Amino acid sequence: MRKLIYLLLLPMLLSCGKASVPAKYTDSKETAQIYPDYQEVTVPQNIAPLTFHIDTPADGSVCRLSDGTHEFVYQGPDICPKEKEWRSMSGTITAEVFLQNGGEWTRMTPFHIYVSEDVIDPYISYRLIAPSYVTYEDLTICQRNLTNYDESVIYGNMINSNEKDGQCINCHAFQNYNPARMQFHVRQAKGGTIISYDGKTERIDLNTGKTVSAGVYPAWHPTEKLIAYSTNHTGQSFHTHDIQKVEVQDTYSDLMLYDIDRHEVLPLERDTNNLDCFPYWSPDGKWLYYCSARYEKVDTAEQTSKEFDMIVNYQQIRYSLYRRPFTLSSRSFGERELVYDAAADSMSATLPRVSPDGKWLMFTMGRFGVFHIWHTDADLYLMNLETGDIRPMTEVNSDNVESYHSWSSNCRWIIFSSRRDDGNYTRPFIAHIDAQGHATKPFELPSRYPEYHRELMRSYNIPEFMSGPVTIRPQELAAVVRNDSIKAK
Amino acid sequence: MSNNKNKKRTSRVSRGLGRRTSLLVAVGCPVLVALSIVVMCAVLYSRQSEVLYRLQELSLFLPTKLFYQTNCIYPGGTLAWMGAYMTQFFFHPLLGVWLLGIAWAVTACLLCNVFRLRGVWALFTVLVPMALLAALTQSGYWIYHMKLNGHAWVPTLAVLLALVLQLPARWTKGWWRCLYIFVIGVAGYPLLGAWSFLALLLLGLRRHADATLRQTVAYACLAVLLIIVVPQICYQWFYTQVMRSEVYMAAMPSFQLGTVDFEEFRYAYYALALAFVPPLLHTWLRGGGRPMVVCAVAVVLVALGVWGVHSRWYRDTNYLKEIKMANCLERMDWEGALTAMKDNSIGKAMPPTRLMVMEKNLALFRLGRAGDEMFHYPEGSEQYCLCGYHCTILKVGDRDTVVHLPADKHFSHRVAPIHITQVGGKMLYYFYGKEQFCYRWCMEDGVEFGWNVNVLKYMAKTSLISHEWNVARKYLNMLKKTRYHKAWAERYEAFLERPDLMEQDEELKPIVPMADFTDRLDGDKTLVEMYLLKTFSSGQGADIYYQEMTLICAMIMKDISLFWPRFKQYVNMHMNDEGFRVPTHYQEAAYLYSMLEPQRESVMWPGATNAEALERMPFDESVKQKYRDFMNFNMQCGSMSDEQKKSAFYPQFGDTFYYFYFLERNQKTN
Repeated sequence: MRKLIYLLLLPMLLSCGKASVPAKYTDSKETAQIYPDYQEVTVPQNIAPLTFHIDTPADGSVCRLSDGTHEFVYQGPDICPKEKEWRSMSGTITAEVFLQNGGEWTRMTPFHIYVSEDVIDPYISYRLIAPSYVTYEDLTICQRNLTNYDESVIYGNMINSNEKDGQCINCHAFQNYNPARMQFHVRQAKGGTIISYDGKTERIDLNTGKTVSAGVYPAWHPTEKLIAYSTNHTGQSFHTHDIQKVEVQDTYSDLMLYDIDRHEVLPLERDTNNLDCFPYWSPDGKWLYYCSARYEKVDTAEQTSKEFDMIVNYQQIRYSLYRRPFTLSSRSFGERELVYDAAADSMSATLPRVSPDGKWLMFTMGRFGVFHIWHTDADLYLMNLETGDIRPMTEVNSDNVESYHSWSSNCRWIIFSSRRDDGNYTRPFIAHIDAQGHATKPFELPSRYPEYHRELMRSYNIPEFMSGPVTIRPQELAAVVRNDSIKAK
Repeated sequence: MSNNKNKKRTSRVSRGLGRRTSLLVAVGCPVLVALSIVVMCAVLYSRQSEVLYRLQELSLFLPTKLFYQTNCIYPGGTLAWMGAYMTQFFFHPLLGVWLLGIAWAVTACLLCNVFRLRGVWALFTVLVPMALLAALTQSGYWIYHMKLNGHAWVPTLAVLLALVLQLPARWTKGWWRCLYIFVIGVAGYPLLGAWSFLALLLLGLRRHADATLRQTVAYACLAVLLIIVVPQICYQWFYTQVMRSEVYMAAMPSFQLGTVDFEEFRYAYYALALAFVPPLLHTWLRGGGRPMVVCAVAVVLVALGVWGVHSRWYRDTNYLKEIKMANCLERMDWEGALTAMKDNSIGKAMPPTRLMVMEKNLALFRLGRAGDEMFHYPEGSEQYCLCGYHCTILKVGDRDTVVHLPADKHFSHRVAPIHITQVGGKMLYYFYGKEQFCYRWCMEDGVEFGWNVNVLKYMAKTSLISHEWNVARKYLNMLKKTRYHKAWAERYEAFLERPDLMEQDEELKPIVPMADFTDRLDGDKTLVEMYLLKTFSSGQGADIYYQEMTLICAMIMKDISLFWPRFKQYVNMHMNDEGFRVPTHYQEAAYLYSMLEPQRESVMWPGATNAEALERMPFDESVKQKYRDFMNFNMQCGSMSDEQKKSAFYPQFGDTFYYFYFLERNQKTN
């Protein structure tokens, strides 16, 4: 009996043994396929451990991570370094993958992970949403601690939604990375804009009748209690065959400014043939960048509507980048200036984002349209604001969608949304960017389970850096949503 | 000592009965309960096996941490997760029913054990499985709308767990039992949601044999307090995705659709709650009660239960046929789908739904017999009904309300907010090569009603057709993790490595070329049939499958100008086929249209009139004769209304295009 127990315990004890690299192996010139692709990426020193899955088929696998001083060995296809192990490594981490097939071990060509001295903002926020078109169920605006894997909900729509009164939430934004100064929209039931400023939270009805719609895409003034919004009349049509699936278009869009203290909406001058969208402030708050397209309906014998015309001619609508000077004392904007005439290059530029040091302007560009998350050719571009030079960010772009992007507060990191994994689900990627504007190969947001994003049926929407976590609880925000809104003037 | 106890118990139960009778009762009642459960399972399997199979297609269980965590963002997530796990077994309906039967039998045994039900009291235990059966079989079209994962198994598992949780209460006494109730109250809600209230109420409301009255009151108060307080605390501190007003309904199925509340679907759940009253009462009566009275009450309640199950059972013939046809079509059993369409043994004969008509046309199209047989089946546009009987939705005050109607208003008022997109539209879009629209509705439904095997399959297949290999792999990998769909996923996974094989695959061969058309921006406004008819009937293509669809749709649209060019192209494409003959219905349409517009220039013979072309076309004699007969009969029925004509013409001409063209009108699609 005792022997039997020992026999049963033996394999268990053996399996508890420390993993080790095989003593005998042959070297391969090929690299192992891993997911996410963390080969030759640069990561901030304070990022959560990079976990990955070895995709190359094998009977057994071992991976050794070492930085010359420390080394750790992991067995199995899921490589999940513990936080303590990860933090102990610095500089260049070498990853060696050993694969066993038919009793023989092979060492694949090692790859490296470069740990940068530049730190990254500790938190990001994003909306998790399935890439659906009309329906939605549970949507959450979440925050994620980048130094570990902790994710929590800032606000989830189901806390105030039921079968009768559904609620959509979108467009979260923060003033200057400050989690205490936040806004997001609630649509449909109990609709309004939730603005939380240093502990005071209100639901504002921005629909004043003075603008095309209530506020849509927001941009906080970097220092003042002001938010610029685009106001949009948006529709969508479906591709019958194209894998881009849907075309989201604005038939009217403008800009407006909202004064938080005065609860006042100030529309910018309106031209119904100009489609102004995606505002963003320069770091000194003296300029408002945005994109704009011109579409004039041509009268035809068919007497079709403007919406119909725009659907038919959707590939002809192209946005360029503009900016307007802003005078704080008078809350007024000057004449618009052309920043980049993308339309002249038969391209459409959107989502202008100025780096916090004011040197760079990053934007998304595709062949047409405004909603580039559905355009497979959409890429990130970088403009040097001192020289006006523009270049595609080939070092971060893929052959699939790159769209929303934001700068870290120290300008050394960018986070952007990409559909390079599977073409359908947006994932956040982070890349280092140096003082000359050169980026490194981006890496996918690390997860506790390496294959987490492969199973996740939701997209990451609007990834934004934050200096810390939002501390107001979802239930408190839910109570504000349920309360009466303040009507903006 | 134990012998004494048994004797005492037996004597109590059999008070007023003879020794032999009491023995018969003691053995007979549990046997009766067991037999009842067997009968329930047999009926369930024989009547609903196709529905049960569909249930598992509309459910999903993945053995991953993320899947569990996703369930657990709501109170009762663990119960839903377990329900989803058990639902998988309906892949083999017999196995699923067998497991369900075991669960019900265990439930009955636990009821006897926990509440010490003996003799005739054991009869009451059958009420719980009956209520569970009613909760399952009443669903009907709700299976497409239920948002609760694993809903088919959730009530059964919840009852089972609630009873299991009663067992440890025996091993605790006095104030320790309070602690136990407290633990169940606190831990039960996150795990079982509102179903934990059942466990708490059973603990709190029964008379524990070893408890004083003071303690019993304390247990009851504690249970009620926990039911009130725990959900509120959980809402305030733990759950961010549930409304405060709905915390007391967590993990319960919702029968609200849009603004309409279908209250009658809660009756089975009320019955389930009431089924626990006799066992609770038994603890207070301390096993007493006159056996004959108890027996009479039990018989009445069981009879009520049978009536309840019978009346709540969703028996809509079209619902059953639609599901059977869909199951057949997805297995590419085209003949099976046609047999189901005609099968009168399924239930009461009624006009078909548009989905059934479309499913029938799809089966015939894939068999290559649409041109000869598509009008051999009844037409109809029977509306969906969530209630399973005569109802409509009307605005009463400011609320949308379900209003029951007299039986004679049955067919014209069976309105429910269900669209073909949710029921079978995805399948139709897929088989007709509209891969992006199929994908779109899979995504929309997956988001709203939860991801399930069925939508993942279509998303994988449509992604393959549109050459989106990476996302196809994502869905196939998910399906490979399921218990019963791994083989399915592996079959399609082969196309990732060898896309060229798709063109040789029996299922995909006609679909791939049909999906090869010029892209444009469009929308179906949720009307699948209209979208398919319009896009195909106005389309032109060189692929033989696509081309025939354009002809079929032009005929269904009854559009003469669309018909002729497509008919001509069809003839030209097949003229050189060995043994080619123009199918009967195509001939009928061509003959009819030529007769209707004899002086119009013929599309078939440019320069000649239709009348002249008619002479040159080799129509079957039977086609011409049928037309003449139809017209002669029409002369005889000149004074009849259209409805009267429909009935009069149907026996002789119901299987012709002539009948379809002249007498099938106003079909409302949804």
